[in-house]
Amino acid sequence: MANLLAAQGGRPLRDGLADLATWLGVTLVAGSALWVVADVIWHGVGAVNWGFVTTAPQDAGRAGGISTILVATFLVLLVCMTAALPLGLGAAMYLSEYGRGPMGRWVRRSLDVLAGVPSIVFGLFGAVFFVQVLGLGFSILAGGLTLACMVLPILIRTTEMAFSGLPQEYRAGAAALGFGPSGILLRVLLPAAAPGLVAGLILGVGRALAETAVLIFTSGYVDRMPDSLLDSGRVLSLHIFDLSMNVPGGDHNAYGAAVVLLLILLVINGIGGWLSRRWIGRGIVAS
Amino acid sequence: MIRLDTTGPTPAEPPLEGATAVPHSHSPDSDATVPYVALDRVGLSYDGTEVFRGVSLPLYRGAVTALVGPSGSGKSSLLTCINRLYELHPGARMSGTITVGGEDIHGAGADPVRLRRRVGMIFQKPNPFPMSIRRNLSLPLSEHRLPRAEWSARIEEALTAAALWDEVKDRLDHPAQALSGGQQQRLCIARALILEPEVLLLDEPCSALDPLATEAIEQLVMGLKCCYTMLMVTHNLAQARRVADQVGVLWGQGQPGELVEFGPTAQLFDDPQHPVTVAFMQRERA
Amino acid sequence: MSRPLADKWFRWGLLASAALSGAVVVLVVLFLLVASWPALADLGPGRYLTDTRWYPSGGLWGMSAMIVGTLLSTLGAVLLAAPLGILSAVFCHYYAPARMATLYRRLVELLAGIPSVVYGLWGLVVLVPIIARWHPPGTSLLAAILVLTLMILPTVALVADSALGQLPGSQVAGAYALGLSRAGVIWRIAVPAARRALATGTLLATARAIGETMAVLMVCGGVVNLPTSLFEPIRTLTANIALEMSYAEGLHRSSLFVTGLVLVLAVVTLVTVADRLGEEPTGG
Ligand SMILES: Nc1ncnc2c1ncn2[C@@H]1O[C@H](COP(=O)(O)OP(=O)(O)O)[C@@H](O)[C@H]1O
Ligand SMILES: [Mg+2]
Repeated sequence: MANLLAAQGGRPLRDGLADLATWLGVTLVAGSALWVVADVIWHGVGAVNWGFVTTAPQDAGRAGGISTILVATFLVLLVCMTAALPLGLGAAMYLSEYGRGPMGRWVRRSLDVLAGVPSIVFGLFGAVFFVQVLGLGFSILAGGLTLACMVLPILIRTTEMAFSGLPQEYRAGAAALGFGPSGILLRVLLPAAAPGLVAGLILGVGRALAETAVLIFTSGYVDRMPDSLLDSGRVLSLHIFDLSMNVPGGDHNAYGAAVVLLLILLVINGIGGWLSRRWIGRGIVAS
Repeated sequence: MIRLDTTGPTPAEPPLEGATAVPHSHSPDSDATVPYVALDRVGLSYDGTEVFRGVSLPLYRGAVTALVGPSGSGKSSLLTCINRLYELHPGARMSGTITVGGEDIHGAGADPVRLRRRVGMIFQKPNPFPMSIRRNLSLPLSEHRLPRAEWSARIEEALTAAALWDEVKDRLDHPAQALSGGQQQRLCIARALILEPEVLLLDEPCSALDPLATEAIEQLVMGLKCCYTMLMVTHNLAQARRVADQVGVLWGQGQPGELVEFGPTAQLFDDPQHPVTVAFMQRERA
Repeated sequence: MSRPLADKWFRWGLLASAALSGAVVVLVVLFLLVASWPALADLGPGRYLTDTRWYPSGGLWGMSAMIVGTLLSTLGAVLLAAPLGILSAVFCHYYAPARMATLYRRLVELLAGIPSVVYGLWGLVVLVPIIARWHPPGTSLLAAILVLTLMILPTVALVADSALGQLPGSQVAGAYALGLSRAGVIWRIAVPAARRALATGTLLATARAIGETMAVLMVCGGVVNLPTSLFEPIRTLTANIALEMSYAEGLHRSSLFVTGLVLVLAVVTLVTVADRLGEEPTGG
């Protein structure tokens, strides 16, 4: 009896401690998240104006803006997605429709491993394979292609999920109308899976935009306006890194670039969400 | 052209209700004395497990054949043999022969795509594609490379034949999935009709619909009867009696299904021969 | 082109895309192997552990300080992030009202979406000076741990969140019916039942911490140093690659590829174990 009472006496205290720990931990996490974001906005918003995004960097980036950086970033993303999208789409269709055999298992397994490879290692790979072996040099092309290797797993996984999530009735319905495999996939399933594909694309672009380590040894540091895809070009995230680490007095513009980067990510995610909602709203997606 | 009562080239005379003879014997159309679709000792197995076996069934042009039986007896699977849709399942094997219009569906030079253009199918759950009404209908046309100039005429014709035109003509570009269940099912019928098939397979087309929509589909099936060879799976015996000219009972409980009885509708309902049919009719009536 | 022919080409196209996608990882490992071969053949793997210092131009190849740096920063970050991530998930499921839980999840997703250079920038400009005021120089193991914690926390939190969401409601209701308090239900029933998923999330987070480069590079100080306290600067393996790759030649460059190979092995092992854990049924 005495034991029972003691246990009951101890319980509220322990429960109270558990509750306290939870609230403390959550406050800490939320506080840190807000701190990081608020700090970047606080320091960076002053640097951002129309001139900042339309003029080229000067004095190693301390002065001037980020126009050439934005162009290089856009080009790297373009190369990355041009390479990764068709490849990823084809692979995802293969996996969702024919991927139950040994070949499908092998591809899935490889992609799982690829998804785990650290980004700096992709950088090493790109520096040998695209830059040296394929002779692309430090270039937007080399950087974009290396980046494509990195986003491939996430692109394929989301796309495959979008396809295999479609009701079996669409396949049977199309087949019953005499559609061949390519007709079923390209004309019926592809449009039906479009919102999922957009989500995958957005995720991939987001990953690619945030990436730095892959590009240090592949697309390079040059901050001039790139003349062609074989020119070196410095992407936004690498610009932030370089300004804050290697350029004394570059913090101000580093923060400005960080705000722009966060804004672009926000806008891209917003567009992605809006697109899928619009699709669903028009009833084009089975709900 | 989509064949309808009014426009069909040689509409077969609808078989008389309650006739004792098989319906085709009443038809003046010489075609109708030979089954348009004939199943000969057809069986199907999934991954080695037999679903049904030894089903022989004649389907006549201008007649609706109803297929009834407990769920799981293989009725849907039987339909998928006729348009070779069972081939979508890698483990499925069919035995026996099926001829459509005299041609063996597995014969030399037979092609599932050509077969499926001749044999339309309507599913238990309406399955319009997640696109606009118009796109649902134009997609099969473009897949089969029919001239774009004909599209709009064909779309109107198919929707009219499916008794849907008046309801949707002003919103062809609206999403198909915003339609009611009954409208969706009629859209699926229109989508099958637009390829001008000769045979229609209907797999419990009303089971997901309310009574009013069910009646509309039944009317539609009766209207289409003249010009198509139709096989309709139904759970609803009263519906089979209203719509069908001949009825088959597929039965299999715990063992591969078999066609235990087959004959003209009236005979099957008024004077069932097989004890299983008798029991089934009684159970379903209760 | 006829339809059957088009379909045939189409299938071949899909197969080729799949094969090429699957081959990327083979290509990556192959080129890592080729590029690290000179160092592996000339130096052998042992030198990296037995040499006392990292001084490539002087023929000293000791990486132990950087290995320890990587391990300590990862360990510290996981020790902080795992409990915080689990608390986050517990909070969303058992404490927060629906709207607050949604808001909080958004915040965690935001944390997951911030690029690593931005964490690095914040760490360098905000966190490091704070640590420096307390204990110079500021760029330190501690800074690396804190920045890494923020970066990997969402991984644990999101996995834990979905694991707690999948627990059958009857189990929780049953626990309440036994008269357990909220904290009792959480820590005696819910969290133990989700332990497999929590382990999976923690392993994935560990893998992420080991492979992370930029943010750590920016706040760790970059000094090859066996740390004796949290306030000393360190250099991780990833930072080493990023710092030296641009000028390394010969065996030095090759050694950096050996590091890359080791990182891949470590991370892939962790991810594989995590996947295995995740596949088997939770609880039990
Ligand atoms: N794709 C399939 N793979 C394996 N078994 C199946 C498949 N489709 C149906 N079956 C099995 O075949 C039997 C008949 O199914 P079905 O044709 O749908 O019957 P019904 O339409 O009469 O209800 C059922 O036992 C079902 O489990
Ligand atoms: Mg069925």
